[in-house]
Amino acid sequence: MRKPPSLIYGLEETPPPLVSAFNGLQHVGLIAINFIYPLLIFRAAGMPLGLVSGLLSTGILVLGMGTFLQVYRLGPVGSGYMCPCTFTAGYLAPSLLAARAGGLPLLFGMTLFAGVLETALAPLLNRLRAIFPPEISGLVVLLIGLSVGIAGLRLMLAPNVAPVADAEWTVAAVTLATMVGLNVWGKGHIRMLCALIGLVVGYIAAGVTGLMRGTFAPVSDAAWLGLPLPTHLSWSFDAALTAPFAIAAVAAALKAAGTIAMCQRMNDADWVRPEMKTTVGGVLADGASTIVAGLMGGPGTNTSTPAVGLAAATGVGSRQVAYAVAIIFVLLSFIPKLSALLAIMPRAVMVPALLFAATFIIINGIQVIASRLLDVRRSLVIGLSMVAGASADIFPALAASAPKALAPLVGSSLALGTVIALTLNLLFRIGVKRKVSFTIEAPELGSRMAEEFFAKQGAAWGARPDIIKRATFAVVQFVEAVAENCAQDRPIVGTATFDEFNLDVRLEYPGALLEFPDRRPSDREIRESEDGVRRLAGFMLRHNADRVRSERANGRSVAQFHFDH
Amino acid sequence: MTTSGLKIAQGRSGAVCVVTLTGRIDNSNAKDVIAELDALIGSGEKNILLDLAGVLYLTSAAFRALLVATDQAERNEARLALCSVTGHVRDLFEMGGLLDSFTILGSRDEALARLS
Repeated sequence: MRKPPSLIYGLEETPPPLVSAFNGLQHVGLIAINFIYPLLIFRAAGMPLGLVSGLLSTGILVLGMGTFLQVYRLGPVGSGYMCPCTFTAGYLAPSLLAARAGGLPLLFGMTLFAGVLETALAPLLNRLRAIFPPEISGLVVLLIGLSVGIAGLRLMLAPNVAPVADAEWTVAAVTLATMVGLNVWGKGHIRMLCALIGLVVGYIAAGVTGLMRGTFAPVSDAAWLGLPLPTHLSWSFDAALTAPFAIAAVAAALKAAGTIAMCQRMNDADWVRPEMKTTVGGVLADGASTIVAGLMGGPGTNTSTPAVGLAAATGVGSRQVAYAVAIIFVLLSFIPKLSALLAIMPRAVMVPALLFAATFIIINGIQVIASRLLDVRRSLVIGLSMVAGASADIFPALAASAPKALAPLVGSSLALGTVIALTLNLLFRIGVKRKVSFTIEAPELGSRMAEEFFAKQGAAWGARPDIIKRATFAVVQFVEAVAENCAQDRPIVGTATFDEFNLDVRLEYPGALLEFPDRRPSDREIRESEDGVRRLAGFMLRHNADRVRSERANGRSVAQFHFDH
Repeated sequence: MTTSGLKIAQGRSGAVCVVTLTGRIDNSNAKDVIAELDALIGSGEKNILLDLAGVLYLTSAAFRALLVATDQAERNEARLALCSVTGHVRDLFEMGGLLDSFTILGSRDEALARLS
């Protein structure tokens, strides 16, 4: 692993203690906005303020433990990267369902289930990607963003909540304007911590306008120091909620894998593709952190992508910073006054924070969807699933009239939209040819032919772009390497076979078998002999595919390239 | 200059001659790359930067062209470096075990800063 020049402190390096501590504080400041998710969930469970405060302390302790699990590498668990743990919007919608349906026991039980599921899925990440292609992962993120925004608006606009006072509109406007203003026009640290600063300004505005009057007692009563002891621990399980929590667990696993890949790329100048050992270790730690949350009494957690982005921006990716983040979380969990202050957050401050967070989640989802070539099939999958997801929020009567076991699925935009997308994705596979033949009439047409063929088939199959690039290169390089041995009047005949997990390319050609050596020719051999160039071609083809094979059949040579998908 | 699937453009930044390659480099146009670089080295250029940001892929014939040009530059006491070697193209360098056969210098700006 070669340290990129943009990194000031690499993974293995130890910055001065003050640098680690300051960077740790920055990460915690960035993550603090996500404390609103457990706060919202615990309130939905109908918990009194004093208890919410205690639960928040425990939750913050879980974040410290999760960050530690991720960086420490306990056996197979942990990536070893500076990748802090955070509460996540992904678990918000399912957790709200659980909290409303069965209170804390169901919330903790289902969180435990999600954590166990995520750890079980960790070794199957490649398979997961096939079932959840990027456009559906993007849709899931988009629906998570929408559910966060709508959960926020419900606090102020739902028919069963208290009408919004004038002062609340003012405080909400000031809070949102601060976050947005600092994000658009702010610079450096101010911009980076705009959400946290917005929360502080919101609290001050709420205090000035009298919204906090009579609510401050839990903070005054709370001690400065206290142990974050788990309370109200009991667990229950409801099979009807497995779908929403399973979707959240899969989304968490995919996001954790993406964040770990960001860490790998940030720390390695020669990074080409995700390294699976640390990725699987990272997802295992992520699932383990959610298990700890379920056991100790908190909602599910996930890796913090913005924190890794911050590390890349500041050039401080040292493992020591992750330890500092973990220690700071643990210390904060020992300050009941802080948790109490969070627990009394007025809705006029919380709602703008949720809307602000939702914006970036939604845009992130749209970007992931747009990164794919959207043919008619995929356009329908995304469009229809979005409408279905939105209908769950707009028409609550749908869930009310559904059979009891299906109500949580039909009542959640995230769950309904995702299930519809997965179903349509499978349905629309009908009619997509899985085995397609092509002919390269002359070697000089190989490049263009291969590019056009794989671009078209890749889109139709929904294949991963990186695999399509490798298959294209295989054909181009192969045709070039065998060109001089081919009879010009006899074409190269190819077949590409695709399923969710494999892409196999078979090329039948007139001419001698091509060698796939396991040793690269020297630079001099490549420069000075045609044979050197041909052996380099064989060497590259061998490493480009996950498996290669060549044989003689019916008087013709056959080369086969296999790509794991 | 445009050949089949490859565009070769030349520019200058201070003492550095920047050659930008765009498209695919394969057997059909590798000789054009060698000719272009050969002419530059022959004309006395001492600092040449090859920007590969726009390259889709390189085959073994392309790598031979780059190795020949690098060798030619060394013989003429010139420096030939590559920049913007990222994504799939970097993958190909790694696949061929060729990352250490060339001087590869990060982004174009970083490379120009190093060579100037």
